Amino acid sequence: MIDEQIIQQCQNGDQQAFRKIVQGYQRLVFSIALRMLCDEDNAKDATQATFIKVWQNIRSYDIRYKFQTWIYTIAVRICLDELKKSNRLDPMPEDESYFKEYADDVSPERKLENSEMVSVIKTLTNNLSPKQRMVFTLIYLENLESSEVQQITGMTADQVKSNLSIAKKQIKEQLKQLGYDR
Amino acid sequence: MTDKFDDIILRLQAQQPSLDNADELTDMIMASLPDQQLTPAIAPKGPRVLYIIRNISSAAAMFLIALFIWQYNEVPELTPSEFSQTDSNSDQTFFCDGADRKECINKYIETRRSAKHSLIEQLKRVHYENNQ
Repeated sequence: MIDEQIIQQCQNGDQQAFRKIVQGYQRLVFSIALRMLCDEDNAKDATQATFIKVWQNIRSYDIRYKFQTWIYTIAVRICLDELKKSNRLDPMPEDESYFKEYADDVSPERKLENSEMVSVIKTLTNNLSPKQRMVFTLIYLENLESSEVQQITGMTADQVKSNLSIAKKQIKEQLKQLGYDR
Repeated sequence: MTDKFDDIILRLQAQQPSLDNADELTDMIMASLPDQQLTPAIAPKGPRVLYIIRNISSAAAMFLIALFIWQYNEVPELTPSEFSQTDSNSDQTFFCDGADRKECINKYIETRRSAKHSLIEQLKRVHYENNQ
């Protein structure tokens, strides 16, 4: 998406070149932040914090690594810190009722509003720890490969597998409690 | 029948969050960028003096540890039993070889003073003998 020349211009302090990076990656960062934090304002703040950190550290970026993975790493760490500070993301009764409406919906093509998506994810991932939520979001919602998740999170393959397995179990348990046995 | 978990995950994967005011967010990010000159890639870890002091302290600590190991493993010249044997033998010679009583006492005191060993040497001897 972004070529080496733009990165080198940013490394030399070119803010106009950095604008191109922000425009190219802000949707991706906002997406992971919204899915992890389940709050639109917090997701925007996390997106802003991510790009400030990218700007500050772009000179130390090693061109041999994938730029997108590097940005993901920064974004995920910021979101994880935010999750640890805010602890649990308890769903409100309206989140649960929206979730049931979504789960029973027979038209899966319908485009979800951000608030609706947040309600569904919040209800599903209610009992997950910050790390489990992070791994679940990266693998199931962002659809990333396990090797890339290991690179982003700094976890081993076993740790990713274990966190994902627990997350899946917890979500299935949550679905059972909401009346969805299968 | 599809598993409800898989069904919901597949549908969520297909949904991308929308970012309506993307330009506004870009402007906000660009406006909040700090001066890159003030934030070098590799930030100094602290004042240079602290760095030097830390290195000197580390070297001194390693020297003390090495010294302790070397002293601890060293075999003393005389064990306490050998020493006391030598000591008692020499005591006898003080009184036998002296010309008069005063000379004998002076010689005795002088020899006892030179025979005093440092605490560390005595400890080493005791430790060595205990390990025998």
